[in-house]
Amino acid sequence: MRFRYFFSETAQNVRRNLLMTVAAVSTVAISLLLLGGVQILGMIVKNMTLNWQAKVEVAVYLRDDITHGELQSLESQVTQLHEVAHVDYVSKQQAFNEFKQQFRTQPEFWQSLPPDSLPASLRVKLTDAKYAAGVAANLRGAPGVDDVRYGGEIIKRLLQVNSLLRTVTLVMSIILLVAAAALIANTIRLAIYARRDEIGIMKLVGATNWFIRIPFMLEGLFAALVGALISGGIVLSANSLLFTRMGKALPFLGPVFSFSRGDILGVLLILVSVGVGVGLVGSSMALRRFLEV
Amino acid sequence: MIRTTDVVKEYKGGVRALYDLTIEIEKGEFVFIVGPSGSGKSTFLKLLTKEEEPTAGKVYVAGKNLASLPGWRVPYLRRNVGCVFQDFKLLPNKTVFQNVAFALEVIGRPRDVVHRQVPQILELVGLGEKLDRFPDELSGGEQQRVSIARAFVNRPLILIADEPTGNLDPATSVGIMRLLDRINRTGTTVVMATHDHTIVDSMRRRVIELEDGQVVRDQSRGIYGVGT
Repeated sequence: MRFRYFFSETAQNVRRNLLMTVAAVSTVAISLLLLGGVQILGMIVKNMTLNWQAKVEVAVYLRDDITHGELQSLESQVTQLHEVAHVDYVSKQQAFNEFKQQFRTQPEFWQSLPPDSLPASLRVKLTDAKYAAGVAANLRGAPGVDDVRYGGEIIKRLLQVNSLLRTVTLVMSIILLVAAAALIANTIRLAIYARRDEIGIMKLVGATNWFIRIPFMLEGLFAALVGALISGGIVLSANSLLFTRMGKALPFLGPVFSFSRGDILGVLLILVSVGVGVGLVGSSMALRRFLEV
Repeated sequence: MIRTTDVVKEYKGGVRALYDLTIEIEKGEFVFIVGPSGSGKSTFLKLLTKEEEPTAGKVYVAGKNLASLPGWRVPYLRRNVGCVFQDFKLLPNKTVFQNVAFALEVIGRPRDVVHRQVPQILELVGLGEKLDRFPDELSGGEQQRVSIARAFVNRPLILIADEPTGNLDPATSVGIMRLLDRINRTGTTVVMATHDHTIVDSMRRRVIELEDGQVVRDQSRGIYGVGT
């Protein structure tokens, strides 16, 4: 009986100021969609860096006159570094073979080269791409080392752009979330105003404060939840219609646009809980300011 | 049942509504609070439901010191104090039945209780045939009866009436007073603010007269006043 009362009151409130409720719902949806975008962007960049990081290695080119002893001590020195996951020695012959393989359709590149024209090297795989610069600096100038190269710059840029993009979107979504809370508060204010006579009598006959508040709380929660479900639905359909297809159409982007079920579920969970939070904040703002009980 | 000791009530801006008010009302009494407009009658009544709080002094209702009653307990106090007003305060979009039922529903009374008690109380106030009417289809006297039914349906210990006959013609007022008298006979304490001479003089109950926020007369079986 109580629940029936609460829900019928809430339904009546929503119907009475439908337009305001629609405005609140759509603001919640849009702001949460931005928030969802931030999350997905983060996931894309994470996938990209994972993908790249797997390929990031430091190439230590060796001098042709390196002695056996120098090579051994260099190898053990590199292996001992805790940032290093794995070291491979690539001989001159192997390097030449790889080069031939890479350019097998253009034999003129290598046909005239003597097989020992490419330097031998150590290929150093790191535990994390961010150590690349440090490891490179460490090995540069070691006995027998000719040059050290690594492909970290691109990743650095990528991470910078990503963090900028995330910050901007996050700020925008927070501003919109505040607006959404204010709109919810205003919707509830109108509902309170429309029912001021009922509220007066409820106080008069001794309805408890929570009994008076709950229908309005529910209204705010309802608006926020519908907004959250809309944004969640858009995220879900974007995932299944857009990203999955893009990954299939452009195979090299496949790993970038494939998200695990858990990741997507995590995004949905964030959207719904932030939405519910916004609804609660908006409702309590309205109740505190406009419903003196 | 009701006791105030040295109550002072000042509104913002230094307007003094009540001054050194000490009143004691026993259980089952019928008390008229009389006095000109602005003498503090309504303020006194509002103290009893903690709608207003005294600037100084103490207010006891049903044995409880209202100053130490926490905010969340106030609704439970109000369930023991029924209120009737000059302007009825009925909800225009609800029927007679719904108006009275509302008072029970919002304090969480179960449906079967509501459906048993509401027709009973409306029978008591003489509106047993008009359950499905809306307030604007009723006369002023009938609307006040609905409002009394709503105040009394929960069987409060105290019934407060602030000028309940203020909007009614003398003949109708007599009917309302009979009803309040009947309610009083069930053991309910009735406190009624009024400046209706005829009613006070014909009822011959206790009269407390206020002037400028002070008690100037407290008389059992009194009349409205000499020279007014």
